[in-house]
Amino acid sequence: MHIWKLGALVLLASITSVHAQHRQDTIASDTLKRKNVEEVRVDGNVTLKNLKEQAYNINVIDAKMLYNSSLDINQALNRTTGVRIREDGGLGSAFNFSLNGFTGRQVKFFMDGLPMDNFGSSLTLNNLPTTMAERIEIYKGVLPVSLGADALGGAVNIVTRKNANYLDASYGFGSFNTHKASVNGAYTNAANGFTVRANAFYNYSDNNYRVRVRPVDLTTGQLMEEQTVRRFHDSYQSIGAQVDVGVTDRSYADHLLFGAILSENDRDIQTGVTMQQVFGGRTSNSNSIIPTLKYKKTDLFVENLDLTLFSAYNITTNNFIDTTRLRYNWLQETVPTTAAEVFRSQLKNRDKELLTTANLAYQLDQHQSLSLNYLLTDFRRQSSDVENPNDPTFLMPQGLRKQNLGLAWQTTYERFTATAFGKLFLLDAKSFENVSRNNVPEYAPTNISRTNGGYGAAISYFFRDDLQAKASYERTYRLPEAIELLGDGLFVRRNSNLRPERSDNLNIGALYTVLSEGTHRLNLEGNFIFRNAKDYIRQDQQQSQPVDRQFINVGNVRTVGAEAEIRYGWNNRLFATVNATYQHITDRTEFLVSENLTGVTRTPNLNFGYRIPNMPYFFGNANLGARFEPLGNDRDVLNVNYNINFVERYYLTPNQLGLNNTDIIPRQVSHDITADMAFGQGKYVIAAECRNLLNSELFDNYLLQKPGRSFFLKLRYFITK
Amino acid sequence: MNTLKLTQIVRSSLCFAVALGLASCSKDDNGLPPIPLDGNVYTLGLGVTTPEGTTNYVAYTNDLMNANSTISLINNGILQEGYRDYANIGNYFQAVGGLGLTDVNTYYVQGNSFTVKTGLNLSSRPVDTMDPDGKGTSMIAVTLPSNPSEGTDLTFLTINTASNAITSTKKVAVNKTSFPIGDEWMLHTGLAIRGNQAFQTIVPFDATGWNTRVVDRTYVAVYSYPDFVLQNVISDERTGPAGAFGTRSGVFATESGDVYTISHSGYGYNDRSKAPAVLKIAAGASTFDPDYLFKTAEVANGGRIVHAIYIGNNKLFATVSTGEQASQWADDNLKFAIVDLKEETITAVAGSPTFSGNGGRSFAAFHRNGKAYAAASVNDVLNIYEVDLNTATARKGAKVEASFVGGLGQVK
Repeated sequence: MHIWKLGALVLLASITSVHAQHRQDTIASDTLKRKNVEEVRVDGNVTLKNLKEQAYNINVIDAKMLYNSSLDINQALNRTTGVRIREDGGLGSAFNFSLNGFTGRQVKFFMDGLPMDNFGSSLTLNNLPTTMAERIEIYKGVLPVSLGADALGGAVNIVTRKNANYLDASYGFGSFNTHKASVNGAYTNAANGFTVRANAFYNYSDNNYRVRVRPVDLTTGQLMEEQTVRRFHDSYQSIGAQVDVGVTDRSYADHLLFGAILSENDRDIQTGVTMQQVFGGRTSNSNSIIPTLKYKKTDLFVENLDLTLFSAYNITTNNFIDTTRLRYNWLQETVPTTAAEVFRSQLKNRDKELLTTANLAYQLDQHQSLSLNYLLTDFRRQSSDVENPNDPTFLMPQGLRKQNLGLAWQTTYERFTATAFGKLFLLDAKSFENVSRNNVPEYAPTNISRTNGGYGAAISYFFRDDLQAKASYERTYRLPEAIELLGDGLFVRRNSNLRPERSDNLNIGALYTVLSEGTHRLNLEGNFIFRNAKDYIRQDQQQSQPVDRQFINVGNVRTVGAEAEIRYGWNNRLFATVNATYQHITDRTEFLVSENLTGVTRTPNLNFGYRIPNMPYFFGNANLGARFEPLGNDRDVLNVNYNINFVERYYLTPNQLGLNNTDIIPRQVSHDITADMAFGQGKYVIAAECRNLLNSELFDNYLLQKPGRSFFLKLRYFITK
Repeated sequence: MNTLKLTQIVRSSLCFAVALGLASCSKDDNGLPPIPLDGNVYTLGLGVTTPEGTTNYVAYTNDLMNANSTISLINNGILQEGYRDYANIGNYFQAVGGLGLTDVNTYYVQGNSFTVKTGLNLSSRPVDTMDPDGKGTSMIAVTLPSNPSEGTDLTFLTINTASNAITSTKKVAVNKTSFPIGDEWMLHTGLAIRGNQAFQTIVPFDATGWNTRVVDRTYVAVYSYPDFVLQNVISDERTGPAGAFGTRSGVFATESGDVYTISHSGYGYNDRSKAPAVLKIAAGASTFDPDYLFKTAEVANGGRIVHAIYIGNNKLFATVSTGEQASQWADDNLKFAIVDLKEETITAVAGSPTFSGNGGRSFAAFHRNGKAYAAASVNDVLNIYEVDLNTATARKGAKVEASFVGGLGQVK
């Protein structure tokens, strides 16, 4: 199945390669013309350094350092401070992203500044190869206005590669029949500005790694002895491509690019929420078609006025299928069922979303600038299920339009920068409500609008050339979704009094360059984080109400934490990085207040003052790298990297309740080792990788087991001019 | 200079690491004295709702009735995976439920230890669990999918309580040929065994919209026992359907072989057309007794009998709801009462609180030696209550620090 898809990638690679090698008059990309922000292509290190030195609490991953590895973007993020990604299994499995304890919709994801939260499961961070990115920015708690979104806890922005002329193709294979391929390339004609940028990826894995389980005897219902079995219904494949065609460096546009993102995936579903629940027939798939328009012009009408525009129309379909009339156990034995494995369904969610982000920046004078950002997302979902055609929730679509407006003022001096900003969030939600007067169902559309304002500031000061202090604060919001505000007309009741989730986020940090010259290089970074979040939106379902529920504001959470990273380099030969994150995330909800049709109940919260369960609170990474030049030049280098990932044990439920709780995710330490060697002046790279070297038992959610030791071999071809 | 800086860094890093190490230590040994197991041992299935979700625990105690004591889950109780319902069959206390799979954890006292048998998994979550013969040696678990998309078989499983093993599985296909469901679905609301017959109260049900559209008659499915072969479905139009979603209080059999169905048309019904009433299937008969009609709202202390357990001698220990039914899922204005099915009387329990019920789950109550025990929350404080079944008086017992009591029983 995946052969023809690999073939398509190879074809794409060869076309781009021809262009890359035969071009005569090429220029650097439009990025050279930028004035206010250093661009990656010019000097990646300078850009990264400048980004790091912003007043925000920001992690920047230099994706170039990861091009030889098989890591996807998720796995790269998992090695930075403040981020924990918990996966359900192997390649392509569902995951939960947390940033300083914020999860789900509280953290937003962007691609070049465009929100990608609704891009479908084939375009999530675990599908995207690092080779498509120039860098990945993680903003913690405080967001610049250029990333316009109601992000309660922060955001991740993937900045794609914008090199003018290059080709970067790779293919790798490894344990569990895993294949990963990617092609990235760009062609720019200096004479007429014609530009093509393309990237594509393909991922496949059987994910048939071994797990330790107690299978259920399907006849007696009794658990058998623990044994090791292979996962048998867990294959995953995804394929995607992004192509931009247009012009760059014209008088009317720095760039004007029309393009599309196309992707799809197919996933077998092996387990439910625990390892005990095993499936042999459930699947899901997704496909996305996203036409895009990108425009950028510096000195628009007047000098120092820059406009950036990025628009997209996202058409994504997500399908979920459970039609197998069998019940499986881990030994692949079956017994017949009468409808499905769990719930007979061929659910189809058709999402359509218009996205536009526009940014206007104006340099007032040498020290001051203004930035105005507008974001529109207009999301509609239509669901259907041929197995349950009469489900009333499918009859009328829900919709959510969000408009975010941000205005920032920035002042910059040699040692001091400061930003103050205000944000306006406008929300328009559409749903439907049950207006039945008798037993005949009758529904009518309903809608609600909301306006909220946020604000913040960030300052940074260099006490000395080698010591920078920074602080940032923002009052952030996460606006309710349509279903949370308006219900679904059936089982979820409207709550028009629902407030957005809000949080006061504070970061105080310092960057200290202990040794900046000579044989030894040493950098330190430390951050203190404080988050005071209120009014979490959660579903309230009373004991007595099996289906009737409502989203309510319940849950105040306080986070006090610290993050630290130490980076050391010796003679450009040895590199070491150690980072750690400790976050004390406590439940500050004293009472649970619930309002339902029968009145108000107010009960003490037995977790008040205790740690929030099911949230890693202490984790870290260590990386040791060595660089050799066996062929005597600085392009054909051999890199060896050793990485350790550590997560302290944590509990899935409130630990103070119950005696000797067994719902522990144990302390986990995983070791990875990678070696890559470049040949032909850096054109060809061969890389070998061993993940989970010690074959440790690794878990994330509800003790779902992750892969043991695995190997991967990758071949990469890279040319640029 | 650089060396000095390095030393400082190493020192501060070490301090940081030690601090983190200390902060991450946790105390496993709670140091609490173990609860003795030589007297009465009562079991509680407790649920705790926090903003992050609900967790369930099985706890035990020697004394449910010390009004000055608190049954707390701080370092006490055994965590149960997922949602749980409970049964108290003989000297066993079953916690049934789970995440994904449905398991049966059977707790009991052996020697000087409170112990558990695990390992039994059911194909789906039961809608009822009951002791078929009162001997405490076996449990019948009834499973019925909540929606035909989940399956169309009604299953009666017999489980040996001591071995925690399935001894019999009987399946009945649910379709409109066998059951009066039309194009809809049905709810199981109760099961009673009498001799070689089983009586199941059922409610036709719109499983998509969770509506009860047929509310003008009582349906009872009659099966052979122990083979659970459907014999017929009988109906009576003098009152509405018996029982309600999840409450397991729709039908009871007495020692003399009479079977009573309890209709309340309150909790769980989005529509109602008949007054609450009890009907009888007399001993030896398989049809409703036309001469028996006990309209429960029209007698003294009457109302809707929503949750009940059978306590012997034709009597129920029940919670009776009065006033308007505010909404489909309102389970409120409840008071403890003793219902005499034969005499057609309801005796109010003196000292009973007025409280809200736990809705669609088994009634967390048991009785021993002339006393019934249940829990109620008044002014947001949850207490155990003991009801003297002879004098019909309630006494407030221990405070329970939990969000709800989902199961209550005695295993010694």
